[in-house]
Amino acid sequence: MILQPVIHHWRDFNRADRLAGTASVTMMVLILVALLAPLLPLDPPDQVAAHPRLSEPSADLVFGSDNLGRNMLSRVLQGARITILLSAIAVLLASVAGVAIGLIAAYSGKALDEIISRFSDIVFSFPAVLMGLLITAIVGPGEFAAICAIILVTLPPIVRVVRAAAMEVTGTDYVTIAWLSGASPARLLLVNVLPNISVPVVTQVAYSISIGMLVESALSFLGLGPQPPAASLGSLLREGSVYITVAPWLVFGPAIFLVIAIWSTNLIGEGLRVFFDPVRARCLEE
Amino acid sequence: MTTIISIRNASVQFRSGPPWAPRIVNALHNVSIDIKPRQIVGLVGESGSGKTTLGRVCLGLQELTSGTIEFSGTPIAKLDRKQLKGQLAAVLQNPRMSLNPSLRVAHSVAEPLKIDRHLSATEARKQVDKMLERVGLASGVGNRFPNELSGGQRQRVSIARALITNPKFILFDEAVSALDVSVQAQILNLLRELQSSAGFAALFISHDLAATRYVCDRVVVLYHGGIMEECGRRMLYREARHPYTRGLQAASGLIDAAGTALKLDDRAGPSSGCALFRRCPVSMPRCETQLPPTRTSGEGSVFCHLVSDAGATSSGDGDPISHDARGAAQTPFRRRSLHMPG
Repeated sequence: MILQPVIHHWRDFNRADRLAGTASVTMMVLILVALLAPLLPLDPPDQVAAHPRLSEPSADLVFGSDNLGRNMLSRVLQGARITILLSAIAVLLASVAGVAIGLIAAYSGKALDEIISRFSDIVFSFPAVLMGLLITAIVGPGEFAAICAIILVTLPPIVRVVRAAAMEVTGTDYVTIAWLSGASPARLLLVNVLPNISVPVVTQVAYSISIGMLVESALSFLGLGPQPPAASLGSLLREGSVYITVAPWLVFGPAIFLVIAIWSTNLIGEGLRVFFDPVRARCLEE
Repeated sequence: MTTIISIRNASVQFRSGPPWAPRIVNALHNVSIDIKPRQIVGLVGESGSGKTTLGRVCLGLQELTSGTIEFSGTPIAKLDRKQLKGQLAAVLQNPRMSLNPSLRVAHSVAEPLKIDRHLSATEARKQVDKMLERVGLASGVGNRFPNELSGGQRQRVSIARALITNPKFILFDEAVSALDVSVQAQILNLLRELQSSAGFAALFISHDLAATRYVCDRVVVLYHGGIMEECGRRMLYREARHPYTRGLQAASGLIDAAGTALKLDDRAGPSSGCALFRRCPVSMPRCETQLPPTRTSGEGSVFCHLVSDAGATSSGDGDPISHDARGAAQTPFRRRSLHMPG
């Protein structure tokens, strides 16, 4: 079976950090449900007056219905899909860019390294939401602005992690020997450095995804993310907050989903750190 | 016969500390060495004596503050990396760090070959298997990752990788220090065997005098970045003349320690005199103020006032100095039996 090695690795991962093992399964279920929502027997998320307005949660309507009578569960799943997808796309782009920039900074040294490092420090020093506001002011609200904001917020830490790890690896004997045998910079970085910095990078990327979801939700909460009728978890929270005194369940659904998703991602990040920890690996060896 | 590596008056300084109060460390001071084809030159000295720096200089990894270094008659600074590829190789101390942990052994060994000759994967693999067999590794080892190998196996892999492009010069920087004694012996034997068949020149850095004697044709003794003594292998062990060399021999149990042991003194040597002055068991007032002259005799040279005095009183025709002429040292020079491999 194709899944056999995946299950095998998951077992090791689960043994290293049970909380992270559980979180990874939870996250998997959340993603699957969010992605497969259109196939589930639920009302379409934008079907107005499918139910009475602001009806309380019940067996039929797990998260109740909103002010236009739409099924909140369908809307939350649709929102989650957008939040997770935007965050994943943005972090993917940020990772590719971050790895490239970090490697170049570590390899070039001196002036270019200094420029890249100081620039990423400057970008890092702005609060995430402020950065989002700046970008929406330039490109206008919407998915594109959200993605740009997430990239700008998650990029500097990835660059830093890659640069630090790459500098450490660049000083090792095997890189020196590869350089001595005439390897080109591209070969040095791609064959000798990149595979050996994957652990801190993967861990940082996992953290970045949770930061991405948080940033996306914050922007959407301010109305700067995806525009109606599209909804993300953040915009659902904002809509719900209007009715919080009469229909508090409107915020419960998206809030619960968001908390579980971010918490799980953080736990997975922590689990990956533990899983790849060389000290732990040595303990297992001995 | 042209020399492979020729270093003339090489000095390397490292600067540290803030710009307004820089601390300058003289890692190498006025060092000259020639390494001829098919010759293994040993480099001994205690930690911090500049051995590794000199090794890095030979590979062009360390720039000189002053002096020149030539590779096959051309200044190394004028040579392009591309012209040098496949000609220089190194086997370094730590077998854990010298192989890329994410590459299979065969891939690691093939890397210099692929860079140098642009061979196809199957062609390269054939040569790699041959080379692994030559260093005494089973063919299956090529498919393993470095963390699945023992220290000795990894060092063999490093040697295979160094030899695969048939380089002119190989640096062995403490190549056997991290291994246990029986594995050391195997690797040293292998080294000698490979050297006689492949015919590379090498710089063998070690603090193990016995290993150096076993492998090298000539030995250079380094202290505080300066050469103390340079001579043929046999002469070094029978007729070591510099107090520092004898101190090293005493420390490793090759000769009696009485009267030869070096003093413990961390302070730097006098600026105008002999670097060894404070630690030398037989230092004289002159050593503090005057730089020792070079005394060349037979196949070696030595930098010491005492030896040059003794040389003046002896026949003066360049013969090795007799034991009695060592004067102030006055120590019996008994050789202990050495248990060397091979």
